[in-house]
Amino acid sequence: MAASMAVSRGIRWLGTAAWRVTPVGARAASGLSKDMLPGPYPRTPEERAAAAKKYNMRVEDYEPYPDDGFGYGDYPKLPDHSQHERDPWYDWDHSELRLNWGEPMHFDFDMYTRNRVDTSPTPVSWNTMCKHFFGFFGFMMFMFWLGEVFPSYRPVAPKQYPYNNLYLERGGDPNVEPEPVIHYEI
Amino acid sequence: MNFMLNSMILLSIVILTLPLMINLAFPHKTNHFPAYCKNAVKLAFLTSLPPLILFVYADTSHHTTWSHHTSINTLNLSMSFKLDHFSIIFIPIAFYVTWSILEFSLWYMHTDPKIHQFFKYLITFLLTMIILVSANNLFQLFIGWEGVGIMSFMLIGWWYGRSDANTAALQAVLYNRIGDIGFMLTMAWLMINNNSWDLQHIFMTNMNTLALLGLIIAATGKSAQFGLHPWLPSAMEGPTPVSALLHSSTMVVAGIFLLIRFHPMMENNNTALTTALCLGATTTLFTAMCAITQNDIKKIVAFSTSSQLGLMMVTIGLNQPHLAFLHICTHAFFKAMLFLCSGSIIHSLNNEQDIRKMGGLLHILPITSSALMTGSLALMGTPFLAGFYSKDSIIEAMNTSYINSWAMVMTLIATSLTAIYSLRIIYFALLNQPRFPPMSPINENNPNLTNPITRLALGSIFAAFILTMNIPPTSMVPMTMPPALKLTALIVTIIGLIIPMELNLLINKLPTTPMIHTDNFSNMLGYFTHLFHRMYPLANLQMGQHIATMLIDLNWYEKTGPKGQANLHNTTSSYITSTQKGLIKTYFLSFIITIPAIFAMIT
Amino acid sequence: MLKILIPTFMLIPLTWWSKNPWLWINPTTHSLLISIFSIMLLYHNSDLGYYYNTAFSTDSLSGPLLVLSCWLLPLMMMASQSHLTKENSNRKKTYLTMLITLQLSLIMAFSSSELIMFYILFETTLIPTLIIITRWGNQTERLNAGLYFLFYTLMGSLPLLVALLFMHNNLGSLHILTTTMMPNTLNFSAPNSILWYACMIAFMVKMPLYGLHLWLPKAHVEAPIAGSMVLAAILLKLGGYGIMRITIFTEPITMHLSYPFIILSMWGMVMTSSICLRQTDLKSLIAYSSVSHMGLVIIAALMQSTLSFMGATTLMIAHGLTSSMLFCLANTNYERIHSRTMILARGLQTILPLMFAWWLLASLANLALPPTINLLGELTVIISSFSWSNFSIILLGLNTVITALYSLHMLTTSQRGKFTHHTYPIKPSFTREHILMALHLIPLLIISLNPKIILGITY
Repeated sequence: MAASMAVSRGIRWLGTAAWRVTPVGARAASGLSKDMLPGPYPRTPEERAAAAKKYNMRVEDYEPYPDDGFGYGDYPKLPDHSQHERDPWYDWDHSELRLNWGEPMHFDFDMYTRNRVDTSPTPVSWNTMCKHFFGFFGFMMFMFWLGEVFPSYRPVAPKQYPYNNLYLERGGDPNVEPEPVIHYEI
Repeated sequence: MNFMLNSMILLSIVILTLPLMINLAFPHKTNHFPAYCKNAVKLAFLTSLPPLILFVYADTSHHTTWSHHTSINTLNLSMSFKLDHFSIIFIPIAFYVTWSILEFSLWYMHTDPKIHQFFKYLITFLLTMIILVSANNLFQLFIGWEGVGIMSFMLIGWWYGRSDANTAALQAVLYNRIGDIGFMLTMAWLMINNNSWDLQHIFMTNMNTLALLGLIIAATGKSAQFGLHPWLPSAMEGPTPVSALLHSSTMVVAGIFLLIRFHPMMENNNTALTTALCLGATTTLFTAMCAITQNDIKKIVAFSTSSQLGLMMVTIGLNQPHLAFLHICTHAFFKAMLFLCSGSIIHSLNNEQDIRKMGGLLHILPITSSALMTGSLALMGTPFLAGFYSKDSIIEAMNTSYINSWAMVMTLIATSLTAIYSLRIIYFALLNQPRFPPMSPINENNPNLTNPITRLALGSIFAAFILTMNIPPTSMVPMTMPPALKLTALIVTIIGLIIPMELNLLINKLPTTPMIHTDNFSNMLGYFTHLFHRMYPLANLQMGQHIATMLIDLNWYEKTGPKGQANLHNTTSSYITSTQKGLIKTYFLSFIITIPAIFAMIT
Repeated sequence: MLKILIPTFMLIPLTWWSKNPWLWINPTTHSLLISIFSIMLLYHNSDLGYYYNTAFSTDSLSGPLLVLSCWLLPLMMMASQSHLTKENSNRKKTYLTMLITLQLSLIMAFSSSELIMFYILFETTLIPTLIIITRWGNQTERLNAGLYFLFYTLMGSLPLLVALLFMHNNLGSLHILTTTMMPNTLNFSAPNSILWYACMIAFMVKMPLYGLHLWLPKAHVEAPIAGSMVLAAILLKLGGYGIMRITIFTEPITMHLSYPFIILSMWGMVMTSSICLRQTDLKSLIAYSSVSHMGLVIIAALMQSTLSFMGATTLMIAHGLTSSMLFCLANTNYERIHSRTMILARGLQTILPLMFAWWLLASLANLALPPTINLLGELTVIISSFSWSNFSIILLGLNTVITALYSLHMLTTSQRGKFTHHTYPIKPSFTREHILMALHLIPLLIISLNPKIILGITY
């Protein structure tokens, strides 16, 4: 993931370096109407206040996305928390989305709904989880390799047949005297 | 006699479609529809018995081609059925289990306003499952294969108002689809190299490792093997009858069934066999480990299902398809029953699924308790119950084969873990003092509840005995071995019984120590879901929005394409416009230079 | 051919002289009759197809597409009844006339046996479509969408005209039936490559190829329902049809030059599917899923094998019906919720259970559930690209997974979950809508039972 983030950051830098212009309509890939798009990036404190009011937020909480030409405009940058983290017992207006009326939605809200990404805190830290899982997995892989090198089996003797181990029946040359097969020694 | 075999099997399939037809014709007559469905399946079961007896008697098998569907170049697609050892035995068992489960659903789902639709879905599911089992060509098998996947989506998401149920349903489809990549890979490979999807044509040729790995991937998805397993425990969001039918006895074994079908191709390919063996061993151990610390009764049973599926996969890897098939059959009985028992308990305790809040049910739910006991014992492989015949032979076969030693050790450990989690259910749910609220609506009088459980209990006691007595094993099973190896399965299980008992006595008195890493690992499903269900969706969805949509589509393509053109034209035209200052004199003056020059050139 | 063309043309006077109460019923029934009549075009028993006169001929590639376009006209009329209720009757009549003109030019485009005529009619389809989008679209962005639609397709198709004239000069004829028998080789060289690109780019834009697809989501989203339906169902197929027709002239250079296009559309399928995962706009999602599915058709049409041509033809028909149905369903939602935003219309299953059944079936067809022909098409394409390169299964397999994911995500979001209160006074679903869905689905099921009628020329 780190790699993909790095790549995305790199590409994003390329994109911004190349084209630094106004919003192109960030959210939907198809034409959104003007009033559904975010406004221009707020530069002065007054604009910030107006934008915060527009999004039903306090000015202190309002924080726009960086103006990098991706078309976020004045859309507020909300913390990256999924709806999973919200209180399931609270009486939300939309209990399924765990969302109230008029509440600003995260830019990636459709990603943070309850049946998609979950960012709720885990009892065990991410590093520990990674270490333990991949440790387990790696250990299993290593041991399977080892098990392949030293397989388990019950030693058995090769099958024995009469008539010199079916010499003639297996297409041996009748003129040549076969080497006698001895399965024992005295 | 032969005509009777296939006509009766097909008749039973036709009987199965009757409820669907009736529902299509009279969509509003739903009062008796559930009972009608149950009776249709019962009738189908009875109809499918004579072929089974015939098969046992005469050992017949059949390929029936019904109708020609289409042919692409030289590839013929037709509706054809393969009625052999596997399908003839599995179909009656599936009918029997479904019959019991439908009867149970009459009781379990009786308050549901859409109970008729629920039954319709179950019947449709059963139909697709039968198509899968009896298909003689890969395309038809794929129809059944995808059909069971989609029906599982519908049934897991039965309570569609719940977000968790929808998530679980989506998860099931997603994991199954990943498995389908493997299936499609194999289909494509066969189409190119063999130019046929008919099983008997395929079996005349060979398949390479790539194609077999495709099958294994397919089985991994459908049978919830390690890597693609998390959908099975999540699927417990569905109603309990669905868990009993789909996620224990029929749908999840489809992957194993596919590998059993394709066994003639696999038996000579060591890479494929070893892959199956290691995959199975990892699954059976990993899921058994997850099962021992779960507290949700359905989750425990789900993980034990997953663990048993791993064991079946191990058996495939051991090159013993008939044993794997026997385990599918025996497992169907007792695992369906375990789910029904847990359904009965859950219903009696007002939808309480946590085993810590049960206890003492031995006295108040006698039938359920005894069935739960029987099922757990059968699962552990107690001699002469259903599980014994298959499980014991699997472990014997494993002990005497030339295989990966680590896989063997892991499977043995998983076998002893089976005893631990089974015992844990019994100990927490049935024994000791009650820990549930006193006003629970406990009732065990309804015949729709007790009959199916009893029937499946009888099945899990006798079915395997009848099957093994009458149907000789077709692949070689080792018969002679030292007593130590012969008794391994039992010894391991008994160790698994004794050690946790002792530990329990010891630890019961100690204060609990939270945050032990091993406990967390097991309780949080080996962190698999926490890691991958967070990482992949986040990465993919971020990629979808921020790179695919916003960066590429809305920036690069827009600005190199239309917007860029517009900009370019705007700037150039404004640049050119600004040079046009309306200075007519100057412009005319330029003619002074050009006209003489032209004249000079002409002359 | 005139048996279909003349009645279709006569629909225009029928529309204009119909009294107001009969305005919808008359053209709908008559066009339905025409479409039933056109079903006989599916019957083919000779290799060359039917040769009606010097201008028109059909074969088993154009036959199914013709039937599809005839079939779609009554469906479009049925679908647009509701959103035109507020218009006066003259405008309704103009709208219907536009649909009929479009139909007429489509029929002639598919059945024309001469490539120049095909080109002319290919361009003719733009005009009524443009009018439909820019006049009857719902938002002001429709003008922008119309601009994108027109300029992308025009810019793409101008080189084609030059190339066709050049080829006509060289070969003396561009008649499809005769040129198949001419010795005509386009060997690998730089001018020939330019010729090949010129031939292809028009159809690549029309399909559209990933990278040239920007017009499609805009046009689909802004168009009224009939426009979306006809765009998704037939106009995109003109591209696939064109590729399959023109590659007859461009052997064997296609083999060398198609590689980047195949790779690009494989990659584009995965990218557009991922875009679908994140669309909040229902129609936009369906539009992008069209781009993704058409990627498969491009792969198949460029692969140039027997199997892949079958896959391409099958997929075109299957996708035509499926995506058109999805657009209709999206429109029924839109007419009730008055928004295309998916998150606003949740849990509709509770109120409109039968509509849920249609949604379910359409989504399942979209994700290529067996035994629908969508699967048959996808599978044949996957097989042929697997034989082209084993690694293609990774991208194609990934795409099937994501396709399933977004189709079911669409289903889950809009139909499942709890019912929202803000949509409460909701209109019931009309019989007209159910018939509309059934008329999409029934052909799909019938063809699934007997796919050989649409397997195309290589069958």
